[in-house]
Amino acid sequence: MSSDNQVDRPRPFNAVPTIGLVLMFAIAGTAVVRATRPGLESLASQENTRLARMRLAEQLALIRESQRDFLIYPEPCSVEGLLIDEDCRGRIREIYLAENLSDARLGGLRELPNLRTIVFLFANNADAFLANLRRKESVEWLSFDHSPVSRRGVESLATLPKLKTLCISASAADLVPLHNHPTLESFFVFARTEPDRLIPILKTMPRLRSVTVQTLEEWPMIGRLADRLKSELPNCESKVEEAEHAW
Amino acid sequence: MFSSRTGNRITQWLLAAANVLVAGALAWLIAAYTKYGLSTFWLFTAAIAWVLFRFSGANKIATVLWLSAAVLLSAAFSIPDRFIIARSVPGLVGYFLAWAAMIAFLVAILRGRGRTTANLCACTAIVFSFILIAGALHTTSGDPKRHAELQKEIRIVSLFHDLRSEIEAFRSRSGRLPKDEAELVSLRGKPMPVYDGNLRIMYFSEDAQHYRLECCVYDWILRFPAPSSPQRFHAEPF
Repeated sequence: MSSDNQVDRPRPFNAVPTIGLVLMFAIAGTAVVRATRPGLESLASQENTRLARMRLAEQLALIRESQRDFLIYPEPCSVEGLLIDEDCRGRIREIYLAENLSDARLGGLRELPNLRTIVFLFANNADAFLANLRRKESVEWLSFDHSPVSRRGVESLATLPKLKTLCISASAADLVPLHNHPTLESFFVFARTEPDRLIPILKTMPRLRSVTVQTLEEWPMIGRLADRLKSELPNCESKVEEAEHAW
Repeated sequence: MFSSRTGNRITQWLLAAANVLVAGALAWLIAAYTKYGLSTFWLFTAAIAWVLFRFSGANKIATVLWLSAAVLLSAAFSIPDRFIIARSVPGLVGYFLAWAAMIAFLVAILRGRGRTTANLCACTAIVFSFILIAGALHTTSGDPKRHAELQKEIRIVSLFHDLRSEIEAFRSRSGRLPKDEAELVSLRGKPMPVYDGNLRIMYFSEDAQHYRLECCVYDWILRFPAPSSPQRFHAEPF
């Protein structure tokens, strides 16, 4: 009887082994997870590639049937498959790009012979993509939305020989490479800083016909800027808008 | 929280475990589904531990168990990309089971009926099997949430394009734009396209020459201006 009581009695709480257990769980967990991570990531990468190709295939089917001429979110792993599809590659005129554009495989998109419009939506590292696009002849229209571009990126896009329309968010200092751009006709800019410093750059563009400036400035700054644009770019349809948010 | 200061020892243990489970589930959900991340998780963990110890009838062991669970989960949080943290419902359930199993086994071990080492090994194996299986199932199934989001965005852009083609066709036929969404619906002979449940694309006529299409997704308003605008697409926060 007394031995039964001894067996049933709970052990007193002991902090040292408990802390030991805690540490053991933490260390063992970290070690096991780190050891198995590469294998799991490889499997995940394969699966994500499969999903990306599935998304691309759905769009290519519609392009092949001439139901559309645009491609949305081509991913680096699916570019190679796109380029070998002779039926589709010549029909694509517009692409939408998002997320991280630093992967060099996306540079393969310059092989699309009739690509005219590129829309960047929440894209990162647009500069890297634009560097691969230098001197691409077919591109006429670039539109950036919530996709930062630095001066390096502007230098790249300034080399596009047929660029006619540009929608971008940048400071005047970053737009300097667009000086004397020979083909730009329509320019939509969210001027991050000092919007009036844009005017000297715009004045050097011989074919510019339309300018829209969005700015976070308020009246009367907006009115003054609109007046300056009208007086200094008389052959150009100009507009200044107050932006609610930076983009 | 459950509380008892008068029941027998087993009841008190069960209640303490229930306290820990409920508090753990709450902390876990907060950490997994809010933007506040690890620091908030630790603050919440410490607060619950104190509440357990001070007010809820839990003893020191339950409090330490709670903290041990927090250490384990924080180790998982520290992994880059948080791939082990379940982002899908099945993964979340699996992770929760792993955590509950850990508590249960630790309780059994600390009640002390011998064979502690064996129990400890079994506990470790079971817990990390659960965690790794949940993580592996989640990870190797790709990222279903991202896939669904991308498909939704692709669908929205496609719908914008299709609708714009219809509007431009009407403009070329009649020489004007639909004056409002009601007219556009009557011209189409069907409602505006929906992209997510009952959410529909909206049409706004700005003036005789300009219009825009809009929809709301996540915390953003997506705008698709008329083809004459240099801006092809624009997103603004709500």
